[in-house]
Formats: sequence, C-alpha cells, structure tokens
Amino acid sequence: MQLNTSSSGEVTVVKIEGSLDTQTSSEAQDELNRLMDEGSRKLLLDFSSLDYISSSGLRVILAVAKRLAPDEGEIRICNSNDVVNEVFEISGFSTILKIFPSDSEALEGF
Amino acid sequence: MPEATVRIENDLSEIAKVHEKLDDFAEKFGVPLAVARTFHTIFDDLLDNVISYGFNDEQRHFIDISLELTADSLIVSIADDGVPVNPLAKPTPDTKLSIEDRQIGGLGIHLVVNLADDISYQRTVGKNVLTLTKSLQSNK
Repeated sequence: MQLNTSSSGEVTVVKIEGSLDTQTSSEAQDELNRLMDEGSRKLLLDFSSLDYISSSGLRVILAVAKRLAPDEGEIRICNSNDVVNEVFEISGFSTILKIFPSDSEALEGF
Repeated sequence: MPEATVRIENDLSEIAKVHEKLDDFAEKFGVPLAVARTFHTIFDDLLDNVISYGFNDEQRHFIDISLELTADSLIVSIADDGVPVNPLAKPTPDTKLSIEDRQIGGLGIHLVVNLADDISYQRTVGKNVLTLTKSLQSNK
C-alpha cells in the first residue's frame, strides 16, 4: 500500500494505491489521523489505484468520517473500481458517504 | 481443471501468502480481474476472522485454502481445525445506520456472504470447511 497526498484548494487529496486490508489499514489510519491532526478537514480519497478493500479498510474510512462529522469536515471518495463500489453497496457505505465516479465531480462544491 | 492450494499458519501476517497465490493463479489462468479482486476481499475478511477468533489455544494451526477454476466459476474452499464456527449463522449487521450510529466493525462476514454467488459451510471431522463460488461472468 502506498499513500500519496496532494492539495486542491482546501481539499487534501489522498491517493491510496494497492489495498486497504488487514495488513495495510493501520498504516493508512495513522497517516489519515496525522493529516487531520495537522488541520485537514476536507479529505478526498482517490481510489483510482486501489485494487481492493476489506472491512478493515471500511473501518478506517468510517473512523475518519466519524471524526470529521462533528467538526464540520467531510470525507469524499472517488474513482473506485467496480468491486470496491460493490463493497460500498453491500456495507451501506454508499448511502452514508459521498462517492463520486471522478475526482473533478468529487471536488465540485467540496 | 486448473487447481491450486496453499497452506498457511494461524497468524495474520500469513494472509499475504494467500493474496500472492491468488494473484499468481489469476494471472496464469486468466481469472477476470473483478473475480480476483472479489476473492482478495473475501480472503482478507474470512482469514482475519478465522485467525483472530477461530482458535482458543496458543498452539500453531494450519489453514488450507484451495482454488479451482471451472469453465464458468472460481471455487474456493477454506478449511481450518478451529472451534466450530458457521459464518452463515452470524447476525446481519444494520447497514442502514448513519455515520454517527454506525459501529466500527462487524461487517467482514456480511461482505463475504454477499460478495460470493454461493457459499456453503460444513463441519467435517473436526474441521470447518467453507466453500465459496463466484461466477466468472458475474456482475453480482
């Protein structure tokens, strides 16, 4: 798993490559916590290079969403593949999170 | 029919070997990318569950995974000698709750059951054997 961070206005774009699973999720959680500690309140997770996600990865996303919600922050997700989208559907995450097919759509009005 | 097996120990770091075996198998026999990705998610959640909760002692145990590619499906079986656990008997989590009310965790088996096209559990001679099937054409 590799994680690359960039900025687009107020939005911190985090591109996660590889997988979000049992082996990688705690590292991803640490990095996202660090970004929020440093003041990031708008996080866009770019999943264009994410192969797959398991419930360990969902846990990371939910923890970020829970932390940002009371702080007027938000997490958005873009560019996820069909299987990752299926995981979002099955878990109900597609109804509680804002998920976009492209980064330009995700950044609109963010 | 193409087949492969891999045996791992009951340690979370061992799950990586199963992901590698699946990647090799998928590349060698042309398993569709979406089917391979589906099983990566399934393996991670199932094996995490078996390794974390399946064994009451501090002993070393083995988990045997087999892959079989048929003309229209990928069939996977996972056998372990842990405590009897039928994942199909687990309660379904409430996936309609808001971010605030959502519990962190409890989703793994729900994902596994819904990602597979077919899943069956057997307890045979001291082993849990779970068999999962995914159609190669499946859009499910």
